[in-house]
Amino acid sequence: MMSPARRLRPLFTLYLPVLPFVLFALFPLYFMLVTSLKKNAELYDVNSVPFLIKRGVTLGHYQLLSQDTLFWSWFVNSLIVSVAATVISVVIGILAAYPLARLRFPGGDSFGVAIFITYLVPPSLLFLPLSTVVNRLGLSDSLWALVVTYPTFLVPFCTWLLLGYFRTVPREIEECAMLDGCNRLQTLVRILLPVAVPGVICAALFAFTLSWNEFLYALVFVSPAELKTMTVGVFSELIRGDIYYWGGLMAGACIGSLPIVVAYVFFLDYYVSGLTAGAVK
Amino acid sequence: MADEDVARLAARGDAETARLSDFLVRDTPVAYAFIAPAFFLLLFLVAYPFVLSLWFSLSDARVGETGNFIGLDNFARLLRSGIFLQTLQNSIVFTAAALTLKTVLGMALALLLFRLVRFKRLIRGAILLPFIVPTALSTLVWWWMFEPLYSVVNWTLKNLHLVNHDIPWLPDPYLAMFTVVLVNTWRGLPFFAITLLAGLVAIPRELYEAAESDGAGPVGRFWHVTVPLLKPVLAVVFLFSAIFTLADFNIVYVLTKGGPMNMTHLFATYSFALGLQSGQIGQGAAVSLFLFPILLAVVFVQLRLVRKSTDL
Amino acid sequence: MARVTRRHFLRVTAGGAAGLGGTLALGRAPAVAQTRELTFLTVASFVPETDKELKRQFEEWGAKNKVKVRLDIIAHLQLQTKKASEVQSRSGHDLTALGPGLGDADLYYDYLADLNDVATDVAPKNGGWLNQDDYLIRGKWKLLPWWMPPFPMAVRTDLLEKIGEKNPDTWEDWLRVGKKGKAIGHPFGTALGHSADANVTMLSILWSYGGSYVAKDGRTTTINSKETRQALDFVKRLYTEAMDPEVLAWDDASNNRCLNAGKCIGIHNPISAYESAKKDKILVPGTQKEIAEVIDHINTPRGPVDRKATTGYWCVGIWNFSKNVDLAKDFLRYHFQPENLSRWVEAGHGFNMPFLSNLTRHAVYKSDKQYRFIPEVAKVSVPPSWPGPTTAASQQVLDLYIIPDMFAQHATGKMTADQAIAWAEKEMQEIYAGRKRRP
Repeated sequence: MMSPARRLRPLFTLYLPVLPFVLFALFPLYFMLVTSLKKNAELYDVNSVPFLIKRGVTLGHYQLLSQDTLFWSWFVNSLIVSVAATVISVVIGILAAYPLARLRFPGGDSFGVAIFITYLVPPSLLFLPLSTVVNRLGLSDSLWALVVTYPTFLVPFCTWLLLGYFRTVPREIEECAMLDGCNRLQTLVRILLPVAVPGVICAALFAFTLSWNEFLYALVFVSPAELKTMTVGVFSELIRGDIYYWGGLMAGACIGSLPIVVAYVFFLDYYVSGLTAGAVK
Repeated sequence: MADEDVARLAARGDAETARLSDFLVRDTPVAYAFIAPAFFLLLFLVAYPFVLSLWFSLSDARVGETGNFIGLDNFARLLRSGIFLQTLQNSIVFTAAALTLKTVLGMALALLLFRLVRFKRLIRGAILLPFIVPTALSTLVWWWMFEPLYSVVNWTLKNLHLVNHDIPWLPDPYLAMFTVVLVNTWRGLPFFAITLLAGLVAIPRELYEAAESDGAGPVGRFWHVTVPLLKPVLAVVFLFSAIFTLADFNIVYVLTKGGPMNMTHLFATYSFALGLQSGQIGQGAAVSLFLFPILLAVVFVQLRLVRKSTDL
Repeated sequence: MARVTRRHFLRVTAGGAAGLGGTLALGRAPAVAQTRELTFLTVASFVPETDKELKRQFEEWGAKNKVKVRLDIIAHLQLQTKKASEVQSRSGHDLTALGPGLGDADLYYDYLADLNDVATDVAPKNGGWLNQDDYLIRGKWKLLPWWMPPFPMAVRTDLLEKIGEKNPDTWEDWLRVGKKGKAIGHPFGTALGHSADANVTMLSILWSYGGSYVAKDGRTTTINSKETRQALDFVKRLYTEAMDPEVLAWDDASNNRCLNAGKCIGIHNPISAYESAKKDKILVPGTQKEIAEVIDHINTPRGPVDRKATTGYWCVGIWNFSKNVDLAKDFLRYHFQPENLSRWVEAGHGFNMPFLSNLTRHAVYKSDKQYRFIPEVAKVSVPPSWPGPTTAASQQVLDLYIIPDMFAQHATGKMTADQAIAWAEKEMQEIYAGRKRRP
């Protein structure tokens, strides 16, 4: 039988300390939401209260975004690119992580290091030679350019994550399967993957997030207005010269975050447990 | 090796177990087949740009022309430039400060998240949001929050009567550095917290119970059970974050463009100004790759840690 | 069995790769069957109607000439990145905006088509170029100067009246105005950070005091001079007495916001601030009066030696790796026809002022009292590399914000005047040395 004092303890030792973190994390996002719903007059009034909307909520910014710009096309483009790039990267990552996790072969260590080399050259430098490659492949100005180039920074991370995760799954079940006559591929697909689903989902979520947020390649490789990705489109329409359309930018940010938020809410538990196994070993 | 071999081996029993497990681990052709897609992807889309980037740093290349080899000239010139030395200092300060904050706060937050019972999913989800929102846009929000005229931060501080005039977050060089570190921490904290949380979740309870029965208090349990077992996770997250923090571009570019007076320029932003805007790709590449040898070592160490515990 | 599966797997992979390759190959339409196509990359104009008018003209020309046209718009901050990648991969758009300086054309000199013919064609009907020599890169026409936003002084007339000042004309006048304004909570404001505005205003001040940073030969740094010291001195006083420290972090939009929020008494800026105040019906804080009614634009200030200003020189060029150079030239001729150009200027309310004499006298500048000084400002505007020609080196000095940094470092007390000048000189000499043309 817990005394009232003891029942209240967690409130002070746990929830109270967590509160600042939650506020810190959410505050800018709340601000983003509020700004997207404010009328311009109030938005640019120095004396107004930033946190509250006193002069009436307006959906004007969202309307501007929806009707006067190609926002929904951009949104769909981002969705297509992110989903495609994620699928490709996760598949390649699974295939690459398996040998690194289970097999010994000459060049294994070097390959592992080579995968990470991409991260050492920043995209702000890498995009230049990459644009030549993209152009030679005839992919400029199409979403394919992104679907093909995004895996370059997604695959290493997926591989690392899945590598760690695969290592936590006991090898015995695979060995049993192989002794029963399964080949490697069957073992991977039928035995390992089902157990490793959390890790795969985790890798997929990460890959999707990174693709969705990517800006530089999307800017450089795709020019036509209707093919732009969401952030590039929002930036080019709503930042004109020295005028920033703050309401619209924030509206774009809000809508733009929605898909990932939805995905994460559904898969949060997988996400955490995927990272567990992936990172521990 | 065909099925008859496997059957034969299995039939030979324990004496052959070593050979059997060896067979299960060595399967070079399959290994190569599996890594083939990744390998070719990297070969065509990464190796060439990567090698070209290295070449840029050792040449006087400009946009569109490959240039001539000039050895370490670019690097020598950088070391003579006041702006670059300031950038070097900024990068070190920025990375050290951000990493420290993320590690300490990440650890604290992970410990708290671990013990949550009610609203667990909600709070964990909330904590994760900064990492999810598109970076380019969330940085704009922060900029708007520190914008001298409309700064909501200043407004809050003034209304809470904590200060009585506007704090120059972005115009003051030291506060500007503080601001970019803050924004980087905001964005990176979820990654640390959730990953460390995952590591905490994996620690078996028995170890804690054993420590408790040995007389260890909460602090003792933390130092003797939690920390050692979290070390591998922490090391990996830390090293990964170090690489990304050092290469950060977006935050400084949007908030300060390297100012005021070059006091917040990082490698990536200075490289952009030098390489892209001015077309001196060789010098820009030299800035970007200045820490390359160190980062390479960092990656190597990191990979070792990940593949470490092993039967491999 | 393992062997069979391995082979099978490899076969599948190879087949998949071939399939992907095939799809990628098909993604590219065979050259033979294409209609003629022309693409144009430009930056989002401050006034959206400008872009719409350009698009309309482009499509009109396209329809007349049976050419499929595409106008792509990006934010101006991203233009440089895009250009670099197009040059690097030798492919991209046919026509491209260049800017905000002429320096781009020196940087990409080898990749731009010669525009001598178009330049000589369009000039006569439009009253001739304002200052032909300014736009030549290494003596050649590699771009067509397209438009500039002149930089007058935007001022709050009601506040000016309040402090008893009238018609400030020299930089000293403005310091006095700013000082009085700051005392009543309305300081003067001009950017001293890493922004294009900072480059423009600081150069304006430097030249007004007789200083310069490069000589006429375009190679010798001349920043170390008595005049520069005078300018440094002035800016220090301006900063400490008439402005707030926030200007060190101002970007291009900050001064607009300062004026429109009712804070600043004056800013050195094109008419964009006023235009957006009018459009959004922004009020003077604490009243119901529209702030647009108490904003006026007057001439860019004079210094002891001269009245000079600069601005962004937005130009248009044709990549020589484009397959449609002649088509592109044809469109340029079309767009630069007097009626078309005139309509385009009108769509932008005169914000985009072309470099052709007749257009500086466009009716729009007489339509609003606000614009009466704009043509005057245009007359004293020179390229940022003045008095030297535009080169990639002069552009780099701008891109690295050497001039604003020099002024800021002295104004904040971080460096003495001598130190600031020495720092700027060293950085510039490095830049110019690095840019020596290869034999």
